[in-house]
Amino acid sequence: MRYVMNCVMVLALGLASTAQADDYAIDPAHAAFDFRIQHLGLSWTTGRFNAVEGVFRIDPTPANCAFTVTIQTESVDSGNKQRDDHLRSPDWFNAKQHPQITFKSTAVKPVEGGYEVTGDFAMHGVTKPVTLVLKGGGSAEFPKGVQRTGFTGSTVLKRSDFGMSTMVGPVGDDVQLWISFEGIKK
Amino acid sequence: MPDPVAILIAMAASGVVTALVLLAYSRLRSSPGAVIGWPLAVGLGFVTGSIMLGFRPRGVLATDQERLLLLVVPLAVTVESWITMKPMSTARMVLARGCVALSSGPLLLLGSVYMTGGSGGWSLAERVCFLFGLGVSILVPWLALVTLQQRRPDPVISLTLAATSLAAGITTMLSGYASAGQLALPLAATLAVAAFAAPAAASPSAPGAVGVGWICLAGVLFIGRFFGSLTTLHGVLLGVTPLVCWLAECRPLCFWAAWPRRLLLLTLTLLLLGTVVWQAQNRFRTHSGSSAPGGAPAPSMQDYLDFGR
Repeated sequence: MRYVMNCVMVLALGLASTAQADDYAIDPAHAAFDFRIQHLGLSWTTGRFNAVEGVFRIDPTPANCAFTVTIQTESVDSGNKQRDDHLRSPDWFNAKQHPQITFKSTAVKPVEGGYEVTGDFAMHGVTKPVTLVLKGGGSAEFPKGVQRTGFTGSTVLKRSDFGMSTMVGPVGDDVQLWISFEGIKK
Repeated sequence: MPDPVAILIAMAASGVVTALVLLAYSRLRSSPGAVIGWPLAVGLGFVTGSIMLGFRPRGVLATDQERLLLLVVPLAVTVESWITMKPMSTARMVLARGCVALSSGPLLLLGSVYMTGGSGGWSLAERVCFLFGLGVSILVPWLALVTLQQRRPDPVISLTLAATSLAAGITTMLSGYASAGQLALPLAATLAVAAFAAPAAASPSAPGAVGVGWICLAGVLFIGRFFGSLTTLHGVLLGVTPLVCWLAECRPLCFWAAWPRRLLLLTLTLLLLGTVVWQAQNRFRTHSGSSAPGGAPAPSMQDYLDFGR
């Protein structure tokens, strides 16, 4: 009898947990993936990728949360067409050979105001673990009947770790990444 | 990135390697294997220059340049050597070159969005049509140039290819793919050496040199167009420019003495190439948006290389 009760409780808890997990699709109109890189050690050149998509799951148990983000490399935009053409070439992102930059979470831990997300970051044919803190998680109904939540986070990585060593020196090796996105509840 | 000194050293190295290979094979004049010196010299000269410019294989044919230098060029050298060593029927020669030309597209585009059909890529039907068309566009000039070289052996063909390589390099660099454009510059040196060596070696037809030179040039244009931002118009113009040499077969040029004819062909070639480079330069300026205050010039690649020295 006790065995049956335990089974029922485990099942009930499992169902409750599943019921509370929310799946979201990133709203491309309210998603940004920006980068900043130092130029001559004097200033920062900024750019962004205009095509960001992905999905994520928010679960009351943080370890069950998951984030997957896909960025189209071709959509790089630094506000200068000639530079963008060069960035798309094999000298930098090699957009035709590696058309996507992806992040897929492997571990999520709760932190104050958000999550510390560790995952596999794949860029330029190289995959490396990257950790970023995503703050946010508030919710809003906009427009009526559409539930949203959003997060913002940043990290710094070395582009040479991803096989992009073009002009390291005058153009910095450290790249500051900043991501912000809203998800629409499915 | 483009460093004039490094480029000049690479060009010199390419020229020296080409000359040394030709010299070594000229000593085997009586041997039937001597003829493969020409395709080998051009292929080795091109690869040497590329290595001098920093080309290092990073993965198993992971990049377009690795596939060009380690697959397509050796394939062209092998086929041209085979054709020059073993005289064969025209149909067999076309077939052998056709196999290389048709396989060049898929080899150079291996693993890219064009082949995988990802975002911005092609559907299967488009892929087959495009790859066939690209193969034909490599094969037709190849056959035209080697046929002309056999009909009217003249170093001007190699010189025209050399000049076109130089222009292709500059145009590809201006089109946003600096490292691919650089590769064409040692190729220009290699072909120039082959052009001047042919009369000296008493082998004016330089068998195989023109064929390998064309494949190397077509490869640079191909990756510049599909992996960089070389425009189709510039790619096509640069690709057809060496065919100007066919005017030598037309009246009244075919009756002219050799030197005035060569001079006219080279002048026409340089005019065409100059127009393409000038247009590419204008496009570069427009897209760079160089609007530095006070009319300050926009920084060049060299400025970046010299920074902090």
